[in-house]
Amino acid sequence: MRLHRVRLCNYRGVTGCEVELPARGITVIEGPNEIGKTSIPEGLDLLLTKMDSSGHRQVKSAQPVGRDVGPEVEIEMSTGEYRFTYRKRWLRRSETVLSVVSPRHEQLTGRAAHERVEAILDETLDGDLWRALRIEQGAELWLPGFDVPSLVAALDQAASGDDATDEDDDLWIRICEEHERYWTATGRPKRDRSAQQARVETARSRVLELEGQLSSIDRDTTEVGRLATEERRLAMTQTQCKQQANELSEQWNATEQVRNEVERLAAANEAAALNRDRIASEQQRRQELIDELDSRTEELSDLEIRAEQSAPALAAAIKQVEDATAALEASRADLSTAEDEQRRAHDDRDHHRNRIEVKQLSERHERVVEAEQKLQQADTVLESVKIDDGLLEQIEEAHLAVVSTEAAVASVDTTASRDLTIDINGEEIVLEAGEVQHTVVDEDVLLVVPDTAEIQVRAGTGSQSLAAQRHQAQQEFRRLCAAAGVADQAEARQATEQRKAAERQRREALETIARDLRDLTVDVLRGKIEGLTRRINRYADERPEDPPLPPDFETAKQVAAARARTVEEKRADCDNCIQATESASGALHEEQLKESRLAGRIEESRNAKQQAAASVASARSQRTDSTIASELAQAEKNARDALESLADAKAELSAADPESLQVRLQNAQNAAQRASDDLQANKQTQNDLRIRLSLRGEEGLRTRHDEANGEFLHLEREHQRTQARAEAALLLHKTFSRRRQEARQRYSAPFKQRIEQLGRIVFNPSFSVDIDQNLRIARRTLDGDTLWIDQLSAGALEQLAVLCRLACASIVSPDGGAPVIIDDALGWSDPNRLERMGAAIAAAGEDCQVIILTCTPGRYAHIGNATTIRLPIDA
Amino acid sequence: MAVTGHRYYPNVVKFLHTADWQLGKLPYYLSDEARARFSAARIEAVGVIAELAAQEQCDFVVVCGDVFDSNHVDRQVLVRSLAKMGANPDIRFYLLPGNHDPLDASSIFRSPTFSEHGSDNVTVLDGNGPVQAAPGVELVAAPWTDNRPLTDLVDDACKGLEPADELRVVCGHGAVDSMWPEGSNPAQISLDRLEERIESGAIHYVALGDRHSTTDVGDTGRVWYSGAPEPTDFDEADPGNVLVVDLDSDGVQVARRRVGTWRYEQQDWELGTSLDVDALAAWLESPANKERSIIRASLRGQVSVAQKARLDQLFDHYTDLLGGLEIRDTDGGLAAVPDDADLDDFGVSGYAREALSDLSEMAQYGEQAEIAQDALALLYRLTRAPA
Repeated sequence: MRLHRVRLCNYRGVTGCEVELPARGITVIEGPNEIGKTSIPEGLDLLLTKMDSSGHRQVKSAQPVGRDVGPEVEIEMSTGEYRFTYRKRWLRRSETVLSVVSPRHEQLTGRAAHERVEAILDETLDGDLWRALRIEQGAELWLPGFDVPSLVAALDQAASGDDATDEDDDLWIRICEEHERYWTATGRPKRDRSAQQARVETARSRVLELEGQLSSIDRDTTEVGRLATEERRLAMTQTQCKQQANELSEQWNATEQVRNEVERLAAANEAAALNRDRIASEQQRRQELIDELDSRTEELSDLEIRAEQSAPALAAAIKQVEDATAALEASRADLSTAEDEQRRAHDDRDHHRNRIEVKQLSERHERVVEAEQKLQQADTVLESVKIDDGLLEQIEEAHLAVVSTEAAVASVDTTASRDLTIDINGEEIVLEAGEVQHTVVDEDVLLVVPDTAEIQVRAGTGSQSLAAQRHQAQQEFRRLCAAAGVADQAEARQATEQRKAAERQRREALETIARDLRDLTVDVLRGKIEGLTRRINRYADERPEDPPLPPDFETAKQVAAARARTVEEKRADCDNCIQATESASGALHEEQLKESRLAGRIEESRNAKQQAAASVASARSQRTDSTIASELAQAEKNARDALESLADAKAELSAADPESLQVRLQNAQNAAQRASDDLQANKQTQNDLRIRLSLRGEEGLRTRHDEANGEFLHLEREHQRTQARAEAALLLHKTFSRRRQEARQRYSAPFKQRIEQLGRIVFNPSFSVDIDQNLRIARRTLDGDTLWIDQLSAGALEQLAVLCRLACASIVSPDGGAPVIIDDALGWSDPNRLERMGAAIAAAGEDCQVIILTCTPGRYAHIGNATTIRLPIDA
Repeated sequence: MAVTGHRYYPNVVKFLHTADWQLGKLPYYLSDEARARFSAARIEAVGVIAELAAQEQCDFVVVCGDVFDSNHVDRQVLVRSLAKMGANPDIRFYLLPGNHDPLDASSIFRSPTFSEHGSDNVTVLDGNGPVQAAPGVELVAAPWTDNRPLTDLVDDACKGLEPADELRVVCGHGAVDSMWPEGSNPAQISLDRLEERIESGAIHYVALGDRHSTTDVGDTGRVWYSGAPEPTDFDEADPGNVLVVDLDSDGVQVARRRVGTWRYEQQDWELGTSLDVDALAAWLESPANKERSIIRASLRGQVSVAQKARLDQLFDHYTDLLGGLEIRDTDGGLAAVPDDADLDDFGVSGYAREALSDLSEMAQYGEQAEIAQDALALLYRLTRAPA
């Protein structure tokens, strides 16, 4: 594709602008901002894509503001074999005009013109390439992949020399579409294939289910056939068993007759035996009567003899009892006398003991009374004497304090040389000869010896203090003495001793009372004394004089002991007599019992003898002994005959083996019954099965099975075909994908080479790039440093974006390609790079059409072979 | 066809001998639509047979076994076929149970529907003694009572028969030992004993079923398989007929009448050239009544991808056109391997051409040869599909 001319009219801010473009090489369109440079590629897009009737936002934005005119774009271009002029006006007086000048002239307007241009472009222009080769102003830097048909075809041609066709790319798309019909992006079968598989399995299950039902019917049918055969066999078996049972039944009946005869003969035999036994029994009873009579007679005789022999023994026993009884009476009288004497002796001994006890108790009573008196006296003393050891000690200490203070005070001892009376401080004191009057001088003392002398004793200066201490000590001493109820120290000591004696007396009195009273009281003790005294006196009054009372207790005790021994001896004699009497009485009782029993037995024996004699007489009066003997002989013969007949009949019955016959008969009857039951069950089962078959047979299962089987096989075949198609599509896709990938790797070489060729002009000879499978620059290597594309600076990235487009355009140009349109790029490049980029663009522009739009004229000044078009400011 | 034979008695009878209707048969290899038509055609054949019998003034029709394809066919099949027979009350139908519809406990002939809808002119030959089919004509029937007989049922039915005044027609079903001499089946029908009885005058015609091709058995001209009125499989030599039997005491005349409307055909094909494919195409085109033709082609050989694509188109076309089309491989099957012309014919270049070569190589041999052939066929189709 080549652009030859572009004209804009009433397009945004451009009233009119027309640019002629050379078909090859570089054209730089310069102009200041907002003069319409960018409107040129934009207008191209509108012209080629929007119909004149379009009210698209882009169309509306192209209308000049404030002017009622429609934007208009016209181009003259060539693509493939076509060269034409194409014009559109939108919004106002819309129109589309196409004038094709080659290969043949065409003039079209309106929608036809639009569609014709679309068809021409579809036929000749690689749309992807057209879009990829443009760098729009202000657009984000974009490094496209050049996986576009034109470049691929050109690269393929370069790589293989063959003409790569658009059909090949269409084919690849179809292969991918075919692959996608059966496989997901992750290589799994598509859902509809799985569903188809499920339908096959469902159909298979349905067939198997119906086959199962048909097999069930076949089994039932076969079973009915088997049962029918079995029924015939069972019927035959039943007949045979019944016949056999009948035959055995007849045999059984004959045997039953024999059995009845045996039973009859057995009964006759039994009767004969009974008769024989009855007569034998009668004969035996008769003999027993006779024997009884003889026995009784002999027994009576023996008893009578024994009675005569036992009479002397009884008389002796009676005599012995009488003797023993007399001896016992005498012994008992002796014992009674001895016991009376013993009681008297005991009373005498007790009498003496009571007397001793009264004496002892009276002594204890006296001691108690005396002790109580002492106790009372002691208590009286203790109540009157208040001093004790503590108080005594205090008194002695107070006394000592008095003495000490008195010793410290001056004193005057006046010793009477004769009896005289003196006056001391006005107190008249009588002194005997030799008596000394001690006067303490705690104050001035006036001692007057009448008529003799007045002696004034003056107390010193310290006397008053000493006198006060002395007075205090005396006060304390007097207070203590008053408390103790004594006059002075000596009296205090005496009173203390008196108190101690009273306390000792009291303790002794209490001990005596406790010892003599023990657990008694005084009154009780006195009562006991009085009671014993009365008993003693009464015994003395009442006791006979003879024998005389023993003189003392010991004698009385000895007499009592002697009397006790006598009693023991008498009692032993008496016990012996009692024993002898009892023994004699027992012997007598025994003899009397014997006598009585013997008499009873004699009586009984006599009665029995009479009864036996009567029985024998009575029996003989009915049948004589000889009659019974002859009847017994006849009965024994009859019994033997019956037994022989019975044995013969039993032998006959045994020969018939009735047990086995019965078992066989029962078995035959059971077998017939079992055959009958089996036959009945067989018929019932057959009937049930036939009913079931009748019902199932109406369901048309075979038809349903055949239909289901047909459907299953159809689905299975369809599934297998689908699977085969899927496998084929997969293999086809894999094979093509692999080869296409390999080809891509080969394609990329010239593209890479061309980019590097241009890049080395811009950068340096070390420049190289890596191209990915989408024909996109992946990495750049410069001076040995390799960077991913997104690691490059904005300037380098922009430069590569221009270079790869130029490379692509120059490769595809021989087959037409599309113009490279650069709208004010390289704004990030420094002047040095701009210069080198200019050289690179110049080198690429030799092979293709490059259109550069710029508002910065100097930016592309280094493109040596560029044609510069300056848009007029009033454009 | 006129067959001379022994002449015994002055009685005369004319009847229609048929067998193996197999009503309700549904071939699995047919589509739903074709199966329905196939099944309907067999029921239609009953009406055609009744009309033919009336037209030929037959005294009765004997159907010698396999009247139904199974004892468990759909009720619709039973009532429609009974209705067809009932629609011609002057023609008496004698139905013999065969191995497909034995007179066992689940027999369709004992079903409530059969009892309810079977008309008076329909009689089941249950083997309980001879049946008087017409004055002076006695039917001696050997029905199957289960599907695994252990004796020659026909011989069993004929035991004790002495030469008589009546014409005796034996109705049987099964294989005749003379046609399968190597068979060890104890139920095979002894031809010798039949011919002995024919010779003795005890029986006069043996109407057989089981073989679907019309067949004259033995030398007497009195033992026949009528064949099936409608074909049922590819291996039947002469199906689609019934027999009109004119029997009297002097002899028998047996005439076959065609009633079948469906056709089975199969052929083995070795394909290698475009001419072979042309011949196969012509053969597929040959049936006059295509929607009632069931065709089986067994293929082998090697064709180009283009030829394979043409074959696929042919098969797709005739699958829709014919009553049934079965394509199967034989002797290693058919390989579709591209030749040089094929490779050019694909019209691809560059990597596509390389991929094509890869597939061609894989298609020659190896585990993936068949898939590769399919892939080539797919590729061939894709290269020719409209954009």
